[in-house]
Amino acid sequence: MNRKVAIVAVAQTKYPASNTSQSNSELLWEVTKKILEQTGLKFENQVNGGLCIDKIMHCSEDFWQGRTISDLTLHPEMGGYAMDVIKVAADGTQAVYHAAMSILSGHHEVILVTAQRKESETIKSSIENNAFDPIFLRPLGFDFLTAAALQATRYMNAYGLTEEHFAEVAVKNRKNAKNNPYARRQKAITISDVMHSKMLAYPIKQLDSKPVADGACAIVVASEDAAKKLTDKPVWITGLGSCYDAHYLGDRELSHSEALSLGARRAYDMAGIKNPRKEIDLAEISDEYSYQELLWAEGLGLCDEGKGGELIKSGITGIRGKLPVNTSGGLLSGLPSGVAGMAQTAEAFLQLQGKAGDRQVDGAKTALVHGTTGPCGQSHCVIILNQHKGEIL
Amino acid sequence: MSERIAIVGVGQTHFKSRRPEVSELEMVNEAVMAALENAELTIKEVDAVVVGNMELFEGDYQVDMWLAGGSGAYLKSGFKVQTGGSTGSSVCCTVFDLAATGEFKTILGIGFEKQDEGSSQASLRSIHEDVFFDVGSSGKSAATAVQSVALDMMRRKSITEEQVAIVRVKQAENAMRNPHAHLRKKITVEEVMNSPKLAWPLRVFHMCPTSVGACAILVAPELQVKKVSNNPAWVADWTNIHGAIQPFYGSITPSWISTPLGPMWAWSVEQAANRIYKRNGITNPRKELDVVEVYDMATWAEIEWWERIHLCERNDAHKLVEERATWLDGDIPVNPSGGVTSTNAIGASAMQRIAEVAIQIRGEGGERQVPNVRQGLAVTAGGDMYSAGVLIKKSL
Amino acid sequence: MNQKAPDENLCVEQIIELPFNESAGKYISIFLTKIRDEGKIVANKCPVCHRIVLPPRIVCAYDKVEIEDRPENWVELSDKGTVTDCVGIDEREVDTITGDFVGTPNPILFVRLDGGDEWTILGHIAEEMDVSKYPRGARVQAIWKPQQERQGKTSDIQFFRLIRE
Repeated sequence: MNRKVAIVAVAQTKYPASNTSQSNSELLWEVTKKILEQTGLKFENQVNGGLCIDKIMHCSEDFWQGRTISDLTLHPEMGGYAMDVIKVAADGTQAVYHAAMSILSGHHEVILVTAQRKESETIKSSIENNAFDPIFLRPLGFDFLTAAALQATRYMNAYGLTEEHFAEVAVKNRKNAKNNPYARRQKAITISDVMHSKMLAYPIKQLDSKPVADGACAIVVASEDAAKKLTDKPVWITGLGSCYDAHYLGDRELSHSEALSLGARRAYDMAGIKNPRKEIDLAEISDEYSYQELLWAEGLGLCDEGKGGELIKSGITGIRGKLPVNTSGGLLSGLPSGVAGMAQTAEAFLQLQGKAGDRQVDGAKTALVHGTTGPCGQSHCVIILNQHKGEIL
Repeated sequence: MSERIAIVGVGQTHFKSRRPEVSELEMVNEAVMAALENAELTIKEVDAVVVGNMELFEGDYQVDMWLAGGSGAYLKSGFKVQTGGSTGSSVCCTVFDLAATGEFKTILGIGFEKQDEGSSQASLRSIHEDVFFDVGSSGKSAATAVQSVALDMMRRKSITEEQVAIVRVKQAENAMRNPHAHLRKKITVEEVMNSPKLAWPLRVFHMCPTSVGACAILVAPELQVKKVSNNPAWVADWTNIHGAIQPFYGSITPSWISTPLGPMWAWSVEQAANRIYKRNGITNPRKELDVVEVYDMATWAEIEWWERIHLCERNDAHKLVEERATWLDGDIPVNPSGGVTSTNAIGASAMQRIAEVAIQIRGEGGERQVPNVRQGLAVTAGGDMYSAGVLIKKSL
Repeated sequence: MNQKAPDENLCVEQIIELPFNESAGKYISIFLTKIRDEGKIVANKCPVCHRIVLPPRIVCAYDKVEIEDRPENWVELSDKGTVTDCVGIDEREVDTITGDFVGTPNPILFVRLDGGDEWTILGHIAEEMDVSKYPRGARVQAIWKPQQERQGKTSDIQFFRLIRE
């Protein structure tokens, strides 16, 4: 693999609980505009050869906008005219994955990846119910919350984790979010606050659960040659991994994510990482529900299987710990699904560029970004970012 | 590292109006198994699966999740992409990019639609109509998009109504030689010309059906191709282009109106073809290509595309009919598969154009095989304004 | 398998209901408020290519630059215009809930409103069913609903009527 790929610029909107002043398209334009201003890039149809954006990858899903081919309403706001455009209908990490692979293919040089979602415009459980197979699971009335509750219970029973362990994750991430200018303004919380918050589906309580959010994010991914011209601090994507699990909840051992371990292994192998606990300086992990940060940390090999509770108690994943997790505040502090993986990629990028302000992890050189798509994390995507290009494999 | 890549297997279901005897998962699996059999591979050799589908048609959010068992995606890499009618070709372009990285052994791309399960009419309405722009949306359909192009073709004297009927008969004849096609009935010029009007001059018999089915392709990089295939269809180039000049908020009128650039869905087809020609040094497509597959949502569209991809001069499509040039035994056969007019399962249709060119290159076209195919072009045109161009060769 | 195949193909029925509360955003809000309160149609103008964009939008799709919300970028259009295309459908109207066909809709009219340029085209409906009455170049006028009935949607205009000028 001789080609290299890097992230050269990111842009985000704030992520409030509800943004009624902007339409979906205006929200998207906000980040596209920021990117164009930051990089000075033009689109391929606007130049006669030379450095330019030569593909646009948009990350969104039709169900969330209530119309088929929903990105048609958004193309001008992503600069789509006369361009190569594609939509990835999965979490944002998967769009970054696709963009990075397209650069590595040699077929493209600079790709603009965008994502937007306004969760406040609809009711997520009515959408999520349709993610389950229509014959067996959907009629049971599942949504991602109730499926997650099953998984959380299984996880607790398998390894003896407690609701307090999960609550600690929420407390940690909400505290981190205070230093993230894109996160919404909200009070810090205590474990007691979490434990006393409204029970949604045992053991998941209100404060264990990702709140509704609106927002957009954009990232520019570029080849080595282009990256060098666009920034003096490119952040290299050195590892990429993705993996599907089975769909039927009964076919899966919910307390252990085989698919995540495989996906992570693919990313680690590509990045040449042998010991993730030592070699990774910070991680952004999908924490749609608080227990997930711990379960996925195990699948990523950041702690031993079943030891998620000990991990959170150890302080290793705290902001001043050895391997801070979710310095952005994570989904628990309010990120729209779909956009989340991109927003977390943007956070990792800012950290490695040394631009994370008060939440900066000192000396961060290697970061891991993780995202999921599908119920109970059926599909996982792992991206490794590094300040350096990494060895040529 | 940009690896050279080839299509090593193709699979399709037999397309029908309804498939109530299979679930979506089983139907997709049929195409996947057919592709694996065609490539003489097992799912073990596949390490990534990319799925394309317009989820609102069947009402299955994140459908690639449910299908993981039947698509072979379990424990493999992969994700879902979509771009409206050109979804199938976008899946192919994604698969091509992934294959060219050299990171994967074999990649499976799947495009499908099981429209008998949902209301695609209601879903399609949602493109144009919303809470604010709530007037007149029923007129903006594929039928009226074709109508505006058809009226324009008649104005320019590209083609006569009778010639369109003659081409429709060609499409049916080709489809009858394609066991996978949906509409495989013999029809006559008279029947076509007397069929009910849909949006004149467009008639019911000109218009594509609503089909149910799946298509799958297997793509591998060169190193792997050499190990597993003695009959690869090499993918020389691929590109996409979108014509998003001014969609109404919630609507896609540029396809239906006389914009200064013409109907944008036709514009993007021309752009995609031009780019492929320019990048690959093709100056005389009619001579240099041996077979072409275009995305014809109606017979009129196929004929318009002949001009747009420069198989003849503008306004000269009628000459290709008079010379029978685009017939199976002509000098530039177009749509040996029968085209989208014969089979339209939206998620699969764009992929089938690429699949058919690969089938022709591999000599697997059976009764519809075009002789001596060395180089073929697939150009797709999806709703709305998306087009892909893919160039496939017998050897690079 | 040893089981006899069932004689019936079972189907699991479902109606999917997704409620939405879509924000029009700044530019469409201005457009629709003008329609509702003043009976006026406004567009905006790209500062680079000077196309008049209808409905108004935050970005020019062609130049990929912002069209700022400034008085000089807004253009008030006439509610009279010239027909560019009239699309008659022998197809029937589709109910968006069931997808079933329900009746024959009025022909779709594409109108280039006076005050706009070649890109300024509004899609709406014709008053009469006969498509031949609306050839390219025909002059038409918007017929509005009375102000108290207007809601801030394009249906606040009932249809376009032929005018003799």
